[in-house]
Amino acid sequence: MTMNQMHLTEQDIATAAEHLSKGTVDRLDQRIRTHLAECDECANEVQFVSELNQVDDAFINTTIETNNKGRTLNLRPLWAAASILIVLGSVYWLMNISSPSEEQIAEEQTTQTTDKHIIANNDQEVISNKQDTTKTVATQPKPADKAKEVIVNKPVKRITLAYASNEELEALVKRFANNTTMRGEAIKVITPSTLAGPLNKLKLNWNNPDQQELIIEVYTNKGEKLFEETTSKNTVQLSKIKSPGLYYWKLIDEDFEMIFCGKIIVK
Amino acid sequence: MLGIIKSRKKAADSKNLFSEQELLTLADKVVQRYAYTIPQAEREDVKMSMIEKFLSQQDQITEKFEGKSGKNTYGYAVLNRICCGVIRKEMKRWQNHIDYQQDDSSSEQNTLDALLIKDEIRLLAKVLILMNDAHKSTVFMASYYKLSPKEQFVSEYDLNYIENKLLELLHIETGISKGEIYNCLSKVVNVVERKDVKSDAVRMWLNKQMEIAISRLNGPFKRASYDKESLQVLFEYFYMEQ
Repeated sequence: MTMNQMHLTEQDIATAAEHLSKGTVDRLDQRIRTHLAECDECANEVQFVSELNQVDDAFINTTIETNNKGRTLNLRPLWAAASILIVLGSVYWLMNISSPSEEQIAEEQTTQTTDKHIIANNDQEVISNKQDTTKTVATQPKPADKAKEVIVNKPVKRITLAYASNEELEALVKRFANNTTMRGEAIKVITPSTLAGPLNKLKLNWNNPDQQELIIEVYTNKGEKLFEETTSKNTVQLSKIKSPGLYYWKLIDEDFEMIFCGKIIVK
Repeated sequence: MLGIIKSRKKAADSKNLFSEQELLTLADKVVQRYAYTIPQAEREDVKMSMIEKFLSQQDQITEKFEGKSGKNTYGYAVLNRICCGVIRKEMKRWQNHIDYQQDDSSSEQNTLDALLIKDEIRLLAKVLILMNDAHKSTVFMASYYKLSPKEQFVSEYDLNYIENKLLELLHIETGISKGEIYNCLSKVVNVVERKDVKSDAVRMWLNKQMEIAISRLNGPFKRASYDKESLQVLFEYFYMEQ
């Protein structure tokens, strides 16, 4: 943008922000759209105002005219939310009062994601649980569980799940995060609590002046041990990690006491 | 629609756009969103400064309200602009203060930990929509990151994607190099846009788009510290959600 080009007015920003929040940017004036594509400053303003709107309790911008011409309300978001709640409530009620019919199974299918594999898996789950209506109707497979079923054939989903944190291991990492000499006073861990870097370039470091036999265990973010190494040196290369993702590692001394737990983000 | 605009405008014209309480609430929310930049001790002053400026220009602000948006949204837009002005003016003084520490999340993990992933995904969606060639950017970034092409995005980029066999062209094998990816993408551009561009041109364009996305995600006053690596991670989260 050149200095001669004006920025959008506040009214333009507000209009664009509302369209952005509602997902109707294609209905925005072409002049504004072109400007936003070229001007970072105005684009940031629009994004910011749109975010404010979305967290605003009063996003349903009501304009109530107190004159005799009546009221103009924009309650579409409320109606949409209410409709969805009514539909969901009806579905749940129907499912509770009878065993699932083919129609209900079909409805359940259509409310799932569009991923065909997941729909196929969901089918199997419903049909196999047909005799147990409580389980069938009450249990909605969690997105993470559904995704795991198709993970073998869906490398795309694998990428996101590869970085999901493991609650138990995260808690361990936090415990050791501020104190790198928890146990095994002679051994001092140099690697930071969170180590990030590209594949094949990561290594773990510590000071092991007495050359104690140390065990290094590396876990996936699912809590499964990936590999274990024993060494009396001060470092270990992480060449056995073959794919990007989030991993955890533990350093254990010769008394089998855990000295440190950290995490590794492989890009 | 015109009726709604006219009625909003008339309501605004008849009195002050916002009551004092409404103004305070809006200003508060704007200031809170800049909490990463405005020191805690300064926030009240900034808020008062914003309100003072708003009130001094109240008539013009009310006049400029055309009713094309809700009045709260308009209020946010006005107050945000005023707030940015205040921050630019005061930033140097804050930085010179010995205790001032802007949250300098320089590492990817800090960026992702500090900010809610869900909000960031939503923000990335908005950043992409507002960019030039939004659909093309999304499709090309997905290919660059070796993610499987998704019909919903490809169809928005090219209505004739089936005839042009775009899904096959955009399917990138995991083992191939970046150079080969750009070759594939240049073929896609030439098919869809009937041009004759080389892979270098596609590389430069895509790099530029990613820089714009990073800049807009980081926002003014260094809201975050996205870089190419963290953009990739965020994009993958975003892409999976769609």
